[in-house]
Amino acid sequence: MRCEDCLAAVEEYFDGELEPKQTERLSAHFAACADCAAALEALSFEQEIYARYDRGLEVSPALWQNVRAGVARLAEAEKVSRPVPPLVGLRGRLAASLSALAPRAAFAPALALVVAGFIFGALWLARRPGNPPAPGVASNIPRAERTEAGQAVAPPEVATTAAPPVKVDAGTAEPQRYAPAPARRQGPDEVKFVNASASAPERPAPAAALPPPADDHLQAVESALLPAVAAPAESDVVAAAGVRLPDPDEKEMARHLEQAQALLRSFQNAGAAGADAAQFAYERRLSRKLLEENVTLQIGAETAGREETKQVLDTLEPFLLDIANLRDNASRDEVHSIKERMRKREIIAALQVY
Amino acid sequence: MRLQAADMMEVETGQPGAHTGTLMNSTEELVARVRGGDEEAFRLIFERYARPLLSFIYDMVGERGLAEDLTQETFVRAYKGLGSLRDEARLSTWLFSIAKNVARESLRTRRRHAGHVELDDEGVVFELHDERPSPAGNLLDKELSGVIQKALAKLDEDKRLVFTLKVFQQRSYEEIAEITGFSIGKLKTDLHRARAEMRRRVGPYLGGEQ
Repeated sequence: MRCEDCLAAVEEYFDGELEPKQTERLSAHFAACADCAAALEALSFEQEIYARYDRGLEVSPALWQNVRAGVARLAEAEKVSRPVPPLVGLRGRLAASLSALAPRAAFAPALALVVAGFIFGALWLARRPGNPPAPGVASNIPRAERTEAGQAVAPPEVATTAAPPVKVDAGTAEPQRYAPAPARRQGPDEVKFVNASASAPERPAPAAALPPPADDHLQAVESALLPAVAAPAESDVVAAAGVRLPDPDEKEMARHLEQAQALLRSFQNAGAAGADAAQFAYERRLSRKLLEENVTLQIGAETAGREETKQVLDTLEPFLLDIANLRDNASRDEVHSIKERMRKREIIAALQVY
Repeated sequence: MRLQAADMMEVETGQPGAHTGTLMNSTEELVARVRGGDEEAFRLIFERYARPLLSFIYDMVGERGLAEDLTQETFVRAYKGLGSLRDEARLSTWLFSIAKNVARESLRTRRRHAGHVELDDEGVVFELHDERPSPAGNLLDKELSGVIQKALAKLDEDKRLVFTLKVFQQRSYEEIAEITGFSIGKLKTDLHRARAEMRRRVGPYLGGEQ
């Protein structure tokens, strides 16, 4: 072995990164060549010096306390950023109220009868031809629902017998699902939903009339966890409003994937004619933002047992990482390699399919 | 000898090199427990990795207070993202990867606030050439540490990252590539240049060894 070959590999040898065969060859050379052995010795000496580097750092107990506090703040922030659907709160309040009555079980049937009678009476009055809508019932229904359907809000009978909440189109009389726009965070649909539900406590519902929407995972889970008497009340509120509950997780997920898809497309298409990495500043920024969201959604999906969702998010993550970590002076090869991986994994198509 | 020391360090600090079944299992168990909401398990992970991460971040940013803040941020992010960790046995690499991101973001922010002054620009770090060199044997460790720290600060970010991970954290090339996202070729080049620069800056304080 020549000395120049040996010296070219001396650091890798010292770092233990060579194949066993190469290591043997170099070892033999060091034994025979004083100059190369001296180079190895110098590296060893440097390492000893660096091992004496004392930063004077101590991990203080306060650091752990701060981490704990940070984690607690994070959990709090996630609660705020993913607000509990108002009806869940309502359901909780109703459940709490009813559970408070539990010790006095003898009063419960009587109370239920009184409440049910009151509700049916109010509904009957509200539906009498020529009568103005009863306060707190039809007046709470979002304006668009009432105007679009004429007397158009699904009649309570329809709503209370059909499993999924429906609205009736005035023209066709065919029940159609109310489909809120998927990709808006604070769209009008959501506002309507909040308004409709905000007044819900004023009108408790006949028990066991409305099962929760079968396809609404979040509601199904919640229904299973909450006392049986509480769930129908919410379902009735929803049905009376003629609105299918938008699942906040699904909306958030749809919006996230839409943004991610746009980002990946933008990245894929940019620089086709040989642009430099500096032009990806926007993509990097957006990618970092989406990465944060991705992590939150992954946790949510895992917690809720949504395997398919989690898989999509897991697949997306490395690409977001790649783009987010793209250096200012990234070479075209680096950019190309990310694009190539995107192409091979067909990530954009995967997002579309989801 | 060096490998043995590295293994011992791994057991104590969670650094790489020790891939004993016991340690791997315990890491996996800890991760599983944290995922199940066990705070004590997260505290154990913190105890295991806090020191190496704090050192690593400190080497990257050069400020004690900031390094502590960023270490805290690293653990909070780790907690948040633990669900996305696919290979629990690689927790250590994953944590360093988060720490690297946190440190780099902080450096970027600092550069923006400082009017785009690079850490390795002249005048930002202490100038070593005016100081009188001393033989290595006479240098107190504290003094030596100051010299090493200043020399580190003069390396550009990529080189400092690679040098710190290899020389101080004893990471393998493969792990460094995973943490940094650099190719093996790039990191070898950066490491070689970083060593040469450090040698040039620290060497005069070591009695003209280099």
